[in-house]
Parts: sequence; C-alpha cells; structure tokens
Amino acid sequence: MSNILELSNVRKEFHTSSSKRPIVAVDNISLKLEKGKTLGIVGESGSGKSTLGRLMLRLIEPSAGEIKFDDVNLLSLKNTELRKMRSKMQMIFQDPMSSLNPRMSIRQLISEPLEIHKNLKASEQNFAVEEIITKVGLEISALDKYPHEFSGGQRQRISIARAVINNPSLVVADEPVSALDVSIQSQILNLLMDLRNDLNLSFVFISHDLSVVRHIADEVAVMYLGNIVEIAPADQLFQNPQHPYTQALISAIPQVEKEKRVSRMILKGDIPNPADAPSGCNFHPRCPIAIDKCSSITPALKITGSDHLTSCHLVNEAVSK
Amino acid sequence: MKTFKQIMRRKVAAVCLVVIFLIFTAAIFAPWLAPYSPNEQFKDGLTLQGAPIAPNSEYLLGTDLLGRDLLSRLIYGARTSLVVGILANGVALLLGTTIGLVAGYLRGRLGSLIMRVTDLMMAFPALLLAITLAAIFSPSLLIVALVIAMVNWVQVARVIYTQTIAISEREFVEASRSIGASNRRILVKHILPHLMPTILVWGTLGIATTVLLEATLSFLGIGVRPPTPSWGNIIFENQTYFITAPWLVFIPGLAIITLALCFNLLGDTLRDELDPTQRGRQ
Repeated sequence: MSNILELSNVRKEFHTSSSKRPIVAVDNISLKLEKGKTLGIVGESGSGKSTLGRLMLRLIEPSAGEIKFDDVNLLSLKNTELRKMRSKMQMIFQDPMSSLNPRMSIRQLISEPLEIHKNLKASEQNFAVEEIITKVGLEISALDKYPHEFSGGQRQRISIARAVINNPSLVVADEPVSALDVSIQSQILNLLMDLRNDLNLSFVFISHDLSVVRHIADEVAVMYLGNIVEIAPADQLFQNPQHPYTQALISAIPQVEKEKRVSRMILKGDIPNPADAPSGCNFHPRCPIAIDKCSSITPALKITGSDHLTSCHLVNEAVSK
Repeated sequence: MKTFKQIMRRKVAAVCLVVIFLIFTAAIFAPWLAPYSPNEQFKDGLTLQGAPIAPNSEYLLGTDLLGRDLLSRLIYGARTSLVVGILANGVALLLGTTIGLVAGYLRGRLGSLIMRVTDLMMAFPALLLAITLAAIFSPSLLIVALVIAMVNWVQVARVIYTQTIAISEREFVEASRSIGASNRRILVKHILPHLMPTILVWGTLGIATTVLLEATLSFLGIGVRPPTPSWGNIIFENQTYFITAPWLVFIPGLAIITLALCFNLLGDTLRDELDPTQRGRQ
C-alpha cells in the first residue's frame, strides 16, 4: 500500500522579537499516512498539532525537513504548481465562522474551488454545487444565503462541502468539531466518516479530544511540545498506552460505566513554554515516573510493539512489563 | 419602528441621489440654466457705495463683490467643483487603495518600503506639496484635480494598509489559500470587499475636503484661474463681505455641504447594502 503523505524530519521554528531563541513548534517529526487511512493527532493546546497540520499541506513553510504528498515533494513545487496541487489536498478549519468569508454567499463559497481548478460551464458548476450541498445534508435553498444565517454545525457542513467538492485525496481536519455543541459533534463526525468512505479519502484528524479521535482514527499520534511521544494503531494505543503522557490523557477520558473507570492520573502544571523547553525529555518535569536520565538525555522514538512507537526511556523497563 | 427606519434610510438615499443628479444636471446644462453669464459684471450689480446687492427678483441670489450674478456663478461653479471633487477623489482613492492593499498584503521589506515613502509624503505639509506641484505644472482644471489627488491618496493608503493587514490575518484568507486561490484572487475577491466600507467612507468624506482644498489653491492663485467660478473660490473671493453680505459665503457653503452630505449618506446606505450581515437592517 502506498503512502499519500510522508513527512521526514519536519521542523518548524518561529522567530519572535521578544526572545533570541526560536520557538520550536514542530521538532523533527517524521510520519507516514497510508492511502485511505485516517491518522489522528492528539495533544494539548500548544503541542504543535495545528502547526503540524498546516505544514502537511505546506500552508506554512517548514524550517527543515521533507514533505511528500502522493510521492511528490511538496517543497520543490513552485507557487503555481503548488496551487494546482491544492485541489487534491484540503483543510477543514476549527471555526467555520471565521474560515468562511462572511461577504460571500454559500453558492460563491462552495463553487470557488471549482472556479479555481476546473473550467466548468455554469450549468455543470451549479449541478456540482447542488449535488455536494445535499450530500453534506443541507437544502439547496441554503445556497443563496450567507454564512451568518447558519448555525455552527451547518457552517461546518458548508466548510466540508467546500473541502470535498474537488474530490481531494487528502483532507486535514484541524479540530473540526471542537467549536461545536456536543450534540452536533457526532453528526459532523458521522458526516466526515461517510464522506471518507464514499470518496475514499485519506484523513488527518487533529483534536484534543481523545474520545473523538478514538471514534474516527486508524492510527493515533500523541504530541507533546512539538514532538510525537507515541504513535500506534488506535485500538492498541487506547488499550495499551505506553508513554506516561498518553496514559495520563487516556485516564482523563470521562467514562459513564463505573467498572470502566480507572484511577485518574493527574499531571502537575501546564505544558512548558516552547521558547524555554526543558532539557532532556520535554515531559520530565511533569512525568510521575521520571528518573535522573530523563532530565539530561532526550529519548528517541523506538519500536515498542507492532507498529507501536514510543519515546520514553522507561518503556520496556518499567511501564510495559 | 424598524421598518420605518428602513424606509427612511432608503428614502434618504433616494433624496440624496436626486440631489446629486440635479447638481450634475446643473453643471452639464449650465449655459441653458444660468440666467446670466457667470463672468459679466453688471452696472446695476453693485450699490452706489460699491457693495454687493442682496437677493432680489433680478438677481435671485444677489450679486458678488464685482457685481456678478451669484446664481449663475454657482451653476457654472458646479462644473469645477464636481470635476475636482470626483476626479481628484477618485484618483486619490484608486491610488491609495492600490498602494495600501499591495503594501499590506505583501508586508515584508517591500511593504515597509512603500509605507515609509507614504509616511514621507504625510510628513510633508499637504498645502506646500500642492503649491509646489501646482507651480511646476501650469494650472488647469485637470492639473488641479491631479495635484489634489497627489496630496490626498496618502491618508487613504495608510488606512487601507492597516486594514489589509488585519484582514489578511483572518482565517478565511488562509482558507482560500488552502483551496488554491491565487494572490490576485485573494486580494480582489476576499480582501477588497472587506475594505469597501472604508473606501466608501473615505471617498464620500473626501468630497468636501477636496472641494475646499481646491478653493484654498484658487485663493492662493494656483487653482482654477479667475474668473472661472468654483464653489470654493466663490467663498474665498467674497469672504471680506462676510458680515455685510453673508449670503455670498453661506449660499456656496450650503452648496458644498449639500454635495458632501448627499455623497456621505449615499455612501452609508451603499456600505450597509454591500454587507450581507447588515443588509436590510435598521
């Protein structure tokens, strides 16, 4: 099976005027996504997951590394070539109110990708737009309204229609349901999963909500301060989390049934400032099981199970016995 | 109440449109509409003491300090004032918007370079700049309009620059980049429509300032050449009679205010109608 997306040693630094040291938002990340699969990326605010999502589509330029989309090196593309490529890779943003231009009608918004990439006759274009709007579960009459006339969930449906109208092969969804009411979240998730199956999409799903990711992803990467600390097939990650950070996150998922509840692992403090990252393992100041080595030596991702990678000195020794 | 206001706003806009249309008509058909020639000095146009004559049946709006018919001068003056007001303003808006938009979107070194040049222009006293420019080119209506545009585009560029930066940061701009929109498309289809309110407000506010700046230039002898009337220079010529013959200042002043107000109100309505979130409200 070939890969739709391949990142190798991708790094992104932001330079600020206030500090001399650059802020490392994404620190040498490598990962692969197979065609037709869904990768979930989880992490706290400030872990670099949104930056990583934007790097995948080269919406921002990486400081170092290589990004391959469908075996094409994205970084070698010229501006016009990259723009053409964008019809194949799409992004769904967190807040559909701010990602939809409030001065454009829904018809203009949804037909924009077609206008840019395909040279269709007006009738064909209208047909495509009407087809997609019903596919995402809205009425055709919605087309002549404006974004402010819709609810959050409906607006996200519009963003989704805009993202999939050109039949992309990869969609990166950056927290697509976190701005929505819980009751609406599952509707949007189901819509995304239906579309993924219908259109045979490869999917990157970025979220801070593990239960959402568990629901949708084949594989899950856990990020902490710009690094991937653990990456594994979804079932494995949730049944057998190996990194102490992952374990803490999973223990924080609320459970309805009493017998499923596990004792909460409560982490001390907040995610550190990336401009002033801790030495050694980034996680050691908050880690409940840290040893001396953790504060001096940075652990690398290593194989700790089938398709299971973890970056922790103590895995294999203490945690996964 | 809401509907009442809505109708009122539309009515106001309609009235403004009619007034602007009338002023245009007066300017175009001045030779047929004006009762007298604008430059003819009438023997009976001044009192025996040499003072202007108050409005009467012969001279509907009175006469000016040289015994010319004020109404005729006002009608002919509309030509100058409209050309200057619209041309100068239009050029200033076009120039200011383009430069501000490009600088704000590009940012980086080129963007700041453009804006430093703009700052330089701003630091220069506008009147001095206008005088210099007007002295270099021999004065004609077109040159006066262009000189005023050269002075006025700077503020527009400044405001548009700042707004463009703010709008470029909004997520829908990134979203349109993510679907593969070109820079030109983003600028024209996504950013420019959001600048329309600012452009309209500046454009309509600028009418009054431009007409007055033209008057200042005329007063200094570098605007339109006398005896050609313009609303601004009618005020300036007659200002010494402000106490004894106030109509000479108030009537052309009223004309300028009416023109500016009508453009302003029309601009307001247009701004609301162009914004889908405001359309039909209030």
